[in-house]
Amino acid sequence: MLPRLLIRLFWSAVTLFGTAVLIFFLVNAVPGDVARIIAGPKASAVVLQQIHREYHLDQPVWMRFGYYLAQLAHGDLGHSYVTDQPVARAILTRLPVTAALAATAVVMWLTLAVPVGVLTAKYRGRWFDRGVLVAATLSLSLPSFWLARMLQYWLAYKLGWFPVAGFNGFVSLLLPGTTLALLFAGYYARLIHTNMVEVLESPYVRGARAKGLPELTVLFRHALPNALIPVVTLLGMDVAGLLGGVLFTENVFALPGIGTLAVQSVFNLDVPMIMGTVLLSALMVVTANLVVDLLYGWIDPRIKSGV
Amino acid sequence: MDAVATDTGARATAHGPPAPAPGLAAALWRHRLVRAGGGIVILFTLLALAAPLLTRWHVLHEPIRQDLNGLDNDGMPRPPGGAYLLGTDSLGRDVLSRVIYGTRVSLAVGTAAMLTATVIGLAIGLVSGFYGGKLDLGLMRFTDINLSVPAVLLAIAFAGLMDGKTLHLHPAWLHWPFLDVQLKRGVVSIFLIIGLVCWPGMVRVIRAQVLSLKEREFVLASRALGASDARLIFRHLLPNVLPTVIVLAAMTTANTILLEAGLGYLGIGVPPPAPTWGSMIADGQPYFISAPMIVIVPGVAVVLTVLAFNLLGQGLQEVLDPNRTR
Amino acid sequence: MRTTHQLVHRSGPTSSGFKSVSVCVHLWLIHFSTDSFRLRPGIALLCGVLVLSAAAGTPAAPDQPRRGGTLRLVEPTDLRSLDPAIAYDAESVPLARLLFRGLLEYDDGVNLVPGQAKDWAISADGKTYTFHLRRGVRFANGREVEADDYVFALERVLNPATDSPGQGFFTGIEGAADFVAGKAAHVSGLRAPDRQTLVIQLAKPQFTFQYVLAMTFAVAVPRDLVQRYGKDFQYHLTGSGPYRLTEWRRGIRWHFARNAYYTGPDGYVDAVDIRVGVDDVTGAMMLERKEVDRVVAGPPQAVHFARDRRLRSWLTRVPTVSTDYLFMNVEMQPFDNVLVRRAVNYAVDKSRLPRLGGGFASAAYGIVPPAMGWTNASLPRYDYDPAKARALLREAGFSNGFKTTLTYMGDNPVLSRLAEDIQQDLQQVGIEAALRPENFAAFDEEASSRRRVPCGIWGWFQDYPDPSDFLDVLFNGRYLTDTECNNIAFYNNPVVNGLLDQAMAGLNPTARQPLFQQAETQIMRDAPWVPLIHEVMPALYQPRVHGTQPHPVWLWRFEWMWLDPD
Repeated sequence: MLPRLLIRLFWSAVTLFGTAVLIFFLVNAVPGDVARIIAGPKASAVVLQQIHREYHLDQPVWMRFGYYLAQLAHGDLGHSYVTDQPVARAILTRLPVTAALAATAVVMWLTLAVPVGVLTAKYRGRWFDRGVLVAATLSLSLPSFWLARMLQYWLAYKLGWFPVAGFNGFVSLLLPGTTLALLFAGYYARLIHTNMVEVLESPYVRGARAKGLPELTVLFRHALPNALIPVVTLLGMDVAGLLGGVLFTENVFALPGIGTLAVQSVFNLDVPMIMGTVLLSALMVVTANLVVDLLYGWIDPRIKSGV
Repeated sequence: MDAVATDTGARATAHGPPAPAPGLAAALWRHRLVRAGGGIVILFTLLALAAPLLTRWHVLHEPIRQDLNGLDNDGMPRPPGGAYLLGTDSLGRDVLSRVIYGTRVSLAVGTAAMLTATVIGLAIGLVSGFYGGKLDLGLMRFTDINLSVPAVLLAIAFAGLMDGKTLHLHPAWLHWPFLDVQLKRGVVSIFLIIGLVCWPGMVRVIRAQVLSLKEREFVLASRALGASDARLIFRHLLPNVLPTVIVLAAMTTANTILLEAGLGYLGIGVPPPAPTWGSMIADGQPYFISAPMIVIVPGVAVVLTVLAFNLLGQGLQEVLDPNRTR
Repeated sequence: MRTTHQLVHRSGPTSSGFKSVSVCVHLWLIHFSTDSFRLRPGIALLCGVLVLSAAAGTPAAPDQPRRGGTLRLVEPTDLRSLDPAIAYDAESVPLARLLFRGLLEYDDGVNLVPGQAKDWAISADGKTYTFHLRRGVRFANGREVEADDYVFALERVLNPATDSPGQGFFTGIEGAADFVAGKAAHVSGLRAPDRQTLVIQLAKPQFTFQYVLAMTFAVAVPRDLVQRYGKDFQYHLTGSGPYRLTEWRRGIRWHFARNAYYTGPDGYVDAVDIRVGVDDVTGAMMLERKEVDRVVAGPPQAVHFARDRRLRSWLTRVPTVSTDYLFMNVEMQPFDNVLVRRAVNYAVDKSRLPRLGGGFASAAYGIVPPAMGWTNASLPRYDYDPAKARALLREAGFSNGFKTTLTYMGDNPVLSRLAEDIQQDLQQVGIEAALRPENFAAFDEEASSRRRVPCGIWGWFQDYPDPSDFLDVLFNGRYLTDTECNNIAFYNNPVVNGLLDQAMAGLNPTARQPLFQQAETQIMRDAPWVPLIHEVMPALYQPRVHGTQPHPVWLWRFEWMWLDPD
């Protein structure tokens, strides 16, 4: 187990590093304006020169990346070009809201998807099958920003069941969480459904049934765990998609999370902030994948030896 | 339909893939999902192509120029009814007409981006799966790296580069002006960006398919007969990967259209006054409570189109590629 | 002051008086139709009370202001700064006034009254201002305000290192020029002979200087704290106003609580809470759902509320003393050619513009808004005439038009609509103007810097009720700077400069008027601007908020607002 863990850790680190390289070069390909952004347009030539030296702007990109890595090793993510606040602090203040939102969404969609997937697998009927399929595909086809506005309009503004916007505690996460949940629930329901159907036909389950175990036990103790394995994998891969959806949703519901920060910083060409948010999202994705990978290996002993 | 699919599979011989079964198109069309999805796609394509003609015949309104008749006395958009079936937008333009024109942009950008992603994804997937080893490892890592950044962020970062500079793809001493790429926002840069963001999603699937195909009889046989790598890839692997790719293409188009709408919403898509669904939704935000149709209708259009491609993709998968477990 | 991302706006006269009367009429009708004699005295008494309260109540709110509650506000993007030396837009200034106060204030109109100075006197030659400060006025940290704090504050505004947009207002002080140039360590014209006395010496008499002193640039700041924190003072803002800053999470939230040391009459609510990142339509939805107390509305929201019978009373509108304009940077091509600028003036169809402002605007044909009580009969008219525009362009050598970019504040809905409309007008005469929306802070910095923005759309709100606030501040070439420049057309005409200087030196209001009129006429002939509209601001207040009457200078005064009990 341990060598496997180490190998995985190593590759995760490589991926993280690679992401940093990719984004750094992408963002720093924009020449010239950086010094002006930091100093403001009023800056004299002397001030600009000073900034060039301080931020190593006259050096080639790869050297600047080196300086950035050195800084990173000290836990310093730099200061925002626009507001001069420390990037790490800006991100950390906003992280709880985004994390809470993501967690709420995941819980909601699993709560929705698992029963639907299980039930539709158990009670198969043609129209039911097709219905779930279409609903699942529909949920995948919704643009997150539009869905967010629609839900906000009908459920919060017209009916008043939820707060319209702003962050005032957990209740403010319910509607945004529902938005994200709806986007993913369909796909997961269908996946669980497909897997459950397969598992329910398997000898393993038929054996359990033959032993005379009650149906509920068969469903939830024997069939479901097997059906959930690919779901776990998918969850890991969907973290990136989830973060993307969070971007728009936070915007519409005016939540003070990382999503709004990320969008603003990209528009302002606030390089340290961009790097910070991208690194954070990469870290979350990589960690999720790592956890999922290990979990998968632990659940399914056949994989332990594999690639 | 199932019969045809298994038939196709069973008839694969040592000489390579079978010729396409007769009636494949009919079989495809028989599938309900393909009919539904494909039908909507065809309808929208026709509408997109016919839009300028429809405008000339005064069935549709002009989508770009401001129309003061479309505004009421307070300068606000008109509600649905009368000459403006679904109401007007902030500059008095008919919402329905603009949404139909928006189909042109979305389908064009979506398809072009999908083709870009497919070409890159195929190239990398084929090479990576076929050669394996360190090359495979490296390329897969690169793909992973691309996948760890949310697509939207990556797209915004790319779009940030589009500030009007000119990129010289040739060395300074070689004056080849045709290799000067102007990085400005427009349809071309948008579909390139989206394509660049979407290819990683295709690579894994293609590669997995290539890996399994590599071990099939007809490939091993050809190799034993001394076929070159290129021949193996182009004559044997590529055609067999095609069904998977077609399915992927349909699903990827759904994603590219969603992404295009998202970028338009953020204001970094195809620049105004071009009618795109994303920018219409964005422009409609201030009028949301007084004229919600401006936001609702383009959104419905996005949902329908993306749904269509997704259904099409699923239908195609069930026909062409039923054995592949997702 | 400059237009901000939001529209600033005030409530109109309340209808409480009218309501009281109508209730009374109904009761009177009941009185005459009922047979129950026992009810009559009661109804009569009730009627009498209502009539009296109606008489006393109009135009102010019927009840007495009460203290307590939290005023909840929202902003679409973060404020640039509430540091009084920096805050200069229509949204930041009223908020800065919650934290900081100065020597003079306005009453509920345009008259100056003593603020934290208990009295003041101007010498006969108009050059010396003497202020006596009130005793017991303290900063939020407890320290008493001294005259040296005012000296420090004004020197800070003049100091080039602070980069204050208000610097130009104070260069008329004796010794300011030397201080700014670095030749003197202090401004000789600012003296504090004792802790409660402030003397300001001007180099030349300046009629408007008293108004300048009522601006937030001239408030007291605690010199010890500013010196200690330096740039970080913005995180530790401390003033002598009714509130103090308790929290600022950048881009997220501001929170003000009562300043325990404030002894003045203002400030009824216990706290002010500002959420950042809420655009105006989301804000309007939140307002209807009672999640916020006030939203500055864009035209669509305003019209929506105006049309709804229940919500109508939530909307208050005020004609602002402001002008939205298209500026052309006369230092950048092709706008360095007056023919081109006049062509642009002829190309814009102003009759459509008020509609684009959602009906909350009037077309502008001059620079100084008529709402200031201003008239100028000799202004040249540039009535819509695209043919003439094209002819002028041909004469200037642009028969095929030209390309340019039109920069404006994307987060201001009115300016955005104006931009789109003007783009189309310009296209009609062959000018391809690419739209370039920017957020407020970015636009502010770029447009006020030399040779960065060729043309764009912006607005100017009055700082004080005097035509010089538009003409001298925005068009006198002597105040041009490379950055933070208010004259964003970078216009510089020596003849106009002379007229303006002469007018500014005068102390007689009636003598100044013709000089300003001549200057305005010449400026319009040189056409660095196309004046577009004078805005009427819609703001929406929840019914529980009172004291929302507009103010001609500050637009709204949060410190006069109070809330119904929960």
